[in-house]
Amino acid sequence: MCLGLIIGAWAATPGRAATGDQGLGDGDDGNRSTPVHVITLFDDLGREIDPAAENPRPVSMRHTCGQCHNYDTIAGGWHFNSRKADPANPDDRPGEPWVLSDAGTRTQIPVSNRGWRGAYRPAELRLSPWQWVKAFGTHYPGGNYGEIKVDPDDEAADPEAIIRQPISGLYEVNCLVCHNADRRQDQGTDAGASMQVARQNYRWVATVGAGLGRVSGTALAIDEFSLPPDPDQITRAIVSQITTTYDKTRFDSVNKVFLDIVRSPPDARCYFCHSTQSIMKNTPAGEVEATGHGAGERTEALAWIHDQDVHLASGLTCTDCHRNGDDHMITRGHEEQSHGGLGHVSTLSCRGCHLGDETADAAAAQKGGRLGAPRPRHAGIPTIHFEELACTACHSGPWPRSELEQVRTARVHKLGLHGKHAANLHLPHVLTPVFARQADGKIAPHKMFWPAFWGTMVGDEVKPMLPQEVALIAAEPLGLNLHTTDRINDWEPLDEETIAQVLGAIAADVPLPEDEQAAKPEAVYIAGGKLYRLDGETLISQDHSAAVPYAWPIAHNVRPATQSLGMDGECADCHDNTSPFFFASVPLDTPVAQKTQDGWIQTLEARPMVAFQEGIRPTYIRWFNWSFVFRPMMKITVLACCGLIAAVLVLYGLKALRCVAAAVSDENESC
Amino acid sequence: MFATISAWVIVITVAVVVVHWFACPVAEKRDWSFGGLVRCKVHVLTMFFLPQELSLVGRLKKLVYLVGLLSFLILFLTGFIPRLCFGQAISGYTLMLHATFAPIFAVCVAIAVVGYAQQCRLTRAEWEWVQRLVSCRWKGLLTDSALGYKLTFWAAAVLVLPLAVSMIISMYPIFGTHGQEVLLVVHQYSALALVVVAILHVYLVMRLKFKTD
Repeated sequence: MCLGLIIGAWAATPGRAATGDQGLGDGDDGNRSTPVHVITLFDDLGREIDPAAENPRPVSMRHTCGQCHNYDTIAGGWHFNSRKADPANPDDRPGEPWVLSDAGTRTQIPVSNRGWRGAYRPAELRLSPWQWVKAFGTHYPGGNYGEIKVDPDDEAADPEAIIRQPISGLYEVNCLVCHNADRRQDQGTDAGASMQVARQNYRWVATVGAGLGRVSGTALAIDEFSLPPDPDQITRAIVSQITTTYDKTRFDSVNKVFLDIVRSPPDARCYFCHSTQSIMKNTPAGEVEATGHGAGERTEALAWIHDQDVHLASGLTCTDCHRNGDDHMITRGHEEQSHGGLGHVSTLSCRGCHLGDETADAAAAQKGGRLGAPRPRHAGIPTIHFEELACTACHSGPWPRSELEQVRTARVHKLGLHGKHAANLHLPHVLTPVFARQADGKIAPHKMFWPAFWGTMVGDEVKPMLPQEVALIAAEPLGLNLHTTDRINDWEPLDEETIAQVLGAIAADVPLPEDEQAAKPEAVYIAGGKLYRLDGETLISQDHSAAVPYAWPIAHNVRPATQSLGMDGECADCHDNTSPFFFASVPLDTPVAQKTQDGWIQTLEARPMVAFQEGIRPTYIRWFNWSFVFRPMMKITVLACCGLIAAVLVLYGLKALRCVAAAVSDENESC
Repeated sequence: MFATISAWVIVITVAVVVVHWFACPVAEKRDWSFGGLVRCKVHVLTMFFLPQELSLVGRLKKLVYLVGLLSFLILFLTGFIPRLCFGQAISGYTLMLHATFAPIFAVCVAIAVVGYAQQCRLTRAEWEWVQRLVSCRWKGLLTDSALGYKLTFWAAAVLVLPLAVSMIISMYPIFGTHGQEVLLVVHQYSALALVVVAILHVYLVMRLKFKTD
């Protein structure tokens, strides 16, 4: 028996030992093949899952993947760590925020805990982790706010979370979202992971998403008063009410399951959360074109007219550039991040990959050309462009047009949900490409939207209110029906009279500060770059820092080199007074409008693109662009002059040579 | 680097001119009186006038020469001042001004080269100067010859070519990034050389005028 135990223990021990915080499956043993994952599944109690058991519990990633991988290390990775972001050290390259949008209250608030300028931290919005997951959980790989266990004794805890979290469970990091290459991995349909999120079945998300089993029951629909008071008993009761039925064909004779796990997630996995859709409209002529601002009718099935990123088209994958180690800190690919002195990282930016990084330690990294990246010639492009522009300015995003495109993104607009819970959200109105100056001083294309929200202001500090708070206070003036579940996908115009009424309602509802000396918060509305407030009975609007647009640089899709701005010496792609690069019309997107006999009219004037390019004056750039009209003439003139000078030099040079020859030969011939 | 080199080269050139002015005076006896200094300044000023005795062609030539000098001055200020004083590359309105006067300068230089080439051709007199230099008969060598302004004239004509062509060619999609950088360097150092040559040329021409007047 002892011998059997020893042999059994030896057989069960993997070839590599765990070291330190590293799990058995972490790190790299040098073999580049993909390890086959025929594994035992574990539930949240750490018990092996038997699909034939009565009321089996759902799969827990922490306990299943955590058998061989350091779950906590992974859970500190880029996709899961925003709640731990240090407010004192914000990341100065803003990214796509989460957006709290609500058409009824005309709200679109950028939310991020990473300290990105213009985005509000969840705590500033009094958005509890529970509310956060409810708002954004469909396009979310788990962990982070989803794994914060609520302490029932915590007075500051969200009461809803205290009651509902034992029912819904924790939303663990769902490793399978990215690493399961099985085509049955389902994030978006009625039978997939996102529906479980919508039902607040967080505990079941991974099981359903991977197609390991079916789940019946909805946590959202369970009345908490029908449950026993003891938390352990609650869980047991829940598991019997929300039943998991495993697909037994997935389990082998020893209850192991083959999961098609890959190191590098397929592009389609990334696309679920990182897609962008251009909103299209039909023109009267029956053609289809990208919308300018204002979005006409969105037409479906136009994906075929768009090309994908040139890198993907040439065979690369997302993870060829956006790499990570065990810590899952994925490289974002921008130069500031990559130029950390590590050669293998520095060349994962556009510049580093194509041109090399002179600061890198490795000689190969200095040369660039990683993964066969061609070295661009940039023929005829003055070098000042490389100081003033990011690579993406000329190479990425949609080709600039006089009117910006309105786009939707997977995370912000919940794209990719199919079936009953499919959304057709139009808010926020994300505009692109906005060529704005970014933190590193270079101009780059951005996606952008104008924040819109109701809030309170003390001094100069504006605090946004959550849409549901506003809806409760001002449902009537806003024309909201709180008893309907119909979704409103886009905002309706809002006249100043309504704004004044809502502000009045908010002002009446705002509690007085405890300190009698303190100023009473003033009700405000932010939209279209303006702050609206009441001065007595009068509504006034003014510029305010809280109203500036939220913009984040884009890198994809990268266009082919032949479709880059300035290709073949086409200076006029930008240096023309009609060029979108400088003079595209950037609308001040706002629901605020005036009702006239001809309909609703927005009074805020659009701004030229150059207004977002700090340091460039519109008048100057007009003059500068205008000078390009004369440039061909100047080139010809100067070259002709040079030709003439050269001819004279040759003529007199030859004459001088004749004189020298004559002088040397002592002839008396005069020069 | 370029800014440092430029500053030193320009300072040294001006110093050489000043030293030469005092070391090899045009007149045997200088008039240091107030009236003399005023007369000297007026004389310099009159050099920028178009004398009646000149023919129409002569006046046009001088006009072109003066316009060329003026545009060169503007190009020098717009090109060098940002670098020397602010350590910045030329940009903004300064760049526009620079680019506006560049073709004017090129045209003026072309006309001036055609117009003054015959006058500035090297003759037997210059050959004799070379012979004096070689045979160590150096007395009056630095004051008696027109070789200086003629040589600087031709040197300027030669330098204008890389100066202008380097920038014009960079506007065509021919050279890549490295080529662009090389062209910029060529432009910068040609400009510096031209500045030195121009300072010497104007000085020598003015010396000659003082002498002949």
